[in-house]
Amino acid sequence: MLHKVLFTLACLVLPVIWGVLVNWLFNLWQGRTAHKENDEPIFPDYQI
Amino acid sequence: MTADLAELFQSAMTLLPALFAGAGVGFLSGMFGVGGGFLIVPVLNLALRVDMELAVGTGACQVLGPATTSLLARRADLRNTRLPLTIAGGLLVGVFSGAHVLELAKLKGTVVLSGREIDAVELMVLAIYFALLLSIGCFAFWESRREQAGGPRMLGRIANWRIPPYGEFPEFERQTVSIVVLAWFGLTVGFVSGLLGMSGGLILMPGLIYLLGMKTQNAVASSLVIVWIVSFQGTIAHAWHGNINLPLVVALLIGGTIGARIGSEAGLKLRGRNLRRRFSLMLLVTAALIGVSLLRLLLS
Repeated sequence: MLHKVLFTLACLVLPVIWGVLVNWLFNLWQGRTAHKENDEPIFPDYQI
Repeated sequence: MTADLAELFQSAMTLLPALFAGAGVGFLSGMFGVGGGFLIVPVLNLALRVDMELAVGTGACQVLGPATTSLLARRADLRNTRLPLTIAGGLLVGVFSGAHVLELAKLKGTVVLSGREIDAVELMVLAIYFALLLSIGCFAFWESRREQAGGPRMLGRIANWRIPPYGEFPEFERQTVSIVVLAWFGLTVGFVSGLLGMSGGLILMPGLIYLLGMKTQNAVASSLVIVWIVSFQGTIAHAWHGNINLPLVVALLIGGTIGARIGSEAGLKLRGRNLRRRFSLMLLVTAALIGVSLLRLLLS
């Protein structure tokens, strides 16, 4: 049971940490912080 | 020491094809601006010969990474959480039911068709993927043709269903929408996602825009939150059944991130209708490949 809970937590945490890390790296790369309020989000074209 | 290194090298070589597969799917996802969860499962199963239940669970877990990045990058605010939270109950029941049906098929093992024993999970998942990708691919192709001809758009078919209680949703064309209809919609999206290991964006976007009549900009913003919720719930459900391979998830995340970056650059050169038609063709080609594999499975 404990093994199942820990495995589920690992499965949840790993991709989320990856997602946060990638977002942070892209912010860093683009030379802006995630807190800039005047940045309008750009949405991708919808395909269907 | 040498044995450890050899073992490490062997594991790395096993994960290398997954890294490339992730990069390929990431490239297409980045180019067409879609999540790509619907491509991961067929690629893992058909190209890398990963067991179907493991491909579904691993795909569901992997989608959580790009879904988190999208949510943070687009900074969805509280206004975009009203609809996702309203349908979260339906999504939860749907995702867990879908994962449970997959587990039942796994326990069943095989089914006998015309005297042949066929893996139940593989048959069920491939058949549903085939029908889903074929119908959405045909719809996307028809939609690109309709847009070219300047025909009228049919919006909000099920948003007109009058089943109380109702909720006020400014993001819809018709602002008063039945909460029952929304819950059922969430249930369907959740079930398909839980069963097939995808984030649900493929059915979510046409559903929100064409069935519920949501404005496209709002649909994109709401879908980011819904996709994240579905991925989170799907990961819990599949991890609980032991259907996730974490090293494979890592390989797909690394490959997918690199591929998506290159793909989004390529996508900028193919804007508009051209891109939409190519997207529909990609869906139809994927459906055809799955159809061939399905036939092979039935006739082998």
